[in-house]
Amino acid sequence: MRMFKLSVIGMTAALALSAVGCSSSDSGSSGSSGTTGDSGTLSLYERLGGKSGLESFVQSVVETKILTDADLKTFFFAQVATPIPAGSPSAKQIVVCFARFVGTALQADTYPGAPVNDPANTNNPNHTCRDMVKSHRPFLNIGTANFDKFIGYVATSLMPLVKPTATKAGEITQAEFEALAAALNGTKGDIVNPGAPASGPFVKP
Amino acid sequence: MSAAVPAYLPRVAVGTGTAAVLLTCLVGVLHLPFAAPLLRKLSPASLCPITHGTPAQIDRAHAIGGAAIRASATASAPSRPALGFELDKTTRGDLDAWAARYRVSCEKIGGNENLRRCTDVPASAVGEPPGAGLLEEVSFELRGTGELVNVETMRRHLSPEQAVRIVAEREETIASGVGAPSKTGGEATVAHLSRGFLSSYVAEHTYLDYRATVSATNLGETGVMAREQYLSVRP
Ligand code: HEM
Repeated sequence: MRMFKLSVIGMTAALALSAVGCSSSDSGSSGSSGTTGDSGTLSLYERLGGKSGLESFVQSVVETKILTDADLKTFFFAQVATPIPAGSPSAKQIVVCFARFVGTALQADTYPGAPVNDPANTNNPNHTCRDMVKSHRPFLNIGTANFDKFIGYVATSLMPLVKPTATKAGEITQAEFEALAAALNGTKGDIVNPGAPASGPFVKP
Repeated sequence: MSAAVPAYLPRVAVGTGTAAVLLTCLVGVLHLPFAAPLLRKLSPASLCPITHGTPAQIDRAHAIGGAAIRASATASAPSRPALGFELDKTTRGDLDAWAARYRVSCEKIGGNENLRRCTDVPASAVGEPPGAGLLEEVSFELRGTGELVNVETMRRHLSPEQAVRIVAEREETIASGVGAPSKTGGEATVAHLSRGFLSSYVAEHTYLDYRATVSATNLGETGVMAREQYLSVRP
């Protein structure tokens, strides 16, 4: 089930991204989402900085946007507790899982992959990345407005990277942005709990 | 009418009631901060997450964000506008007085005293032109020591035209106080925000002690969302 969901998202992203590559739009995409770009050009994954670049990007979104949001931070109290409760990943482990998730959607990584090591998370030093349903829906009770805020932060963090012709590291095209947006939105059904209050902080399901 | 009550029923009722009260108390006590480590051992996070942050945890999340923001800044802000509030000075009492003055309804966020969200706030209450309409949410965060460190707003269900008007006006006001943004993305135009899902405009003004952000994001069926955030990032 988990692999099925991911491959659907991955395929959606890959299809959208390969469509970008085939289009003659003036947005100048390299057209390749995986690790190797067309002759001499960098793939989207490479332009996003590969594994380490994606991890830095996600870490920056988590730290400078999500953890400064008065509502969203209430979902991450396990991550700022000492020790982190058994069963919960640390912020570092979430960052690695999230980057892996995006990398897999771009067919350049594997989710869940190997357990993510963080010795500082004493109750859970080797966390195996869970699928989107298991890591969110049953216990986080995320409503639509919080999902909107969350992907709003991801979108506004990606938007400054959008350039008319994206060939260098740290640049993406509008069409690639739209494909990533569609892939993120594809997770909504897995993450949002239909019974949760649309807005506001964490409330027990 | 009065059916005979089996003799054991009152005893069962009293017993069940007592057990329920005891259980409720036990669960309640387990959720108190001192019992949190025990509760964590008893209950995996996936069954019962403890997400009422202590003031220290709220401060910790703020400190992590603040440090990461300062890392990309080079100078202190010439001024620190925050919709009429004073970062690092305004207190909970000031917020209560403000809410009463504008008849705004506010509540704690997730039971946390230092996080507060107010809904359906008139634009005039935050010094915005009355034509800007109601704000769906205005949220505040206070430090454990009681001073305001974060003000944020959210409006959704906007048309691209409304969103462009709001973000352009807010961005102009911020820029007149602190100067040009340090980072922008997308365009504050109807054409750009209408392009499709998640099409966004963002302007960030990042300093060593302050960050102001204005953004608009197309959320598809939910219309366009406009947000502002005024954050103290003083250590
Ligand atoms: C595009 C949407 C999202 C994606 C792709 C995503 C991805 C992830 C990933 C990969 C993880 C780590 C998986 C694991 O724990 O094994 C995770 C964990 C987590 N996410 Fe998300 N997420 C999304 C939206 C959200 C939203 C909207 C919230 C809250 C409002 C949220 C809150 C959390 C929390 C609190 C955890 C840690 C759970 C725990 O402590 O056990 N996520 N997310």
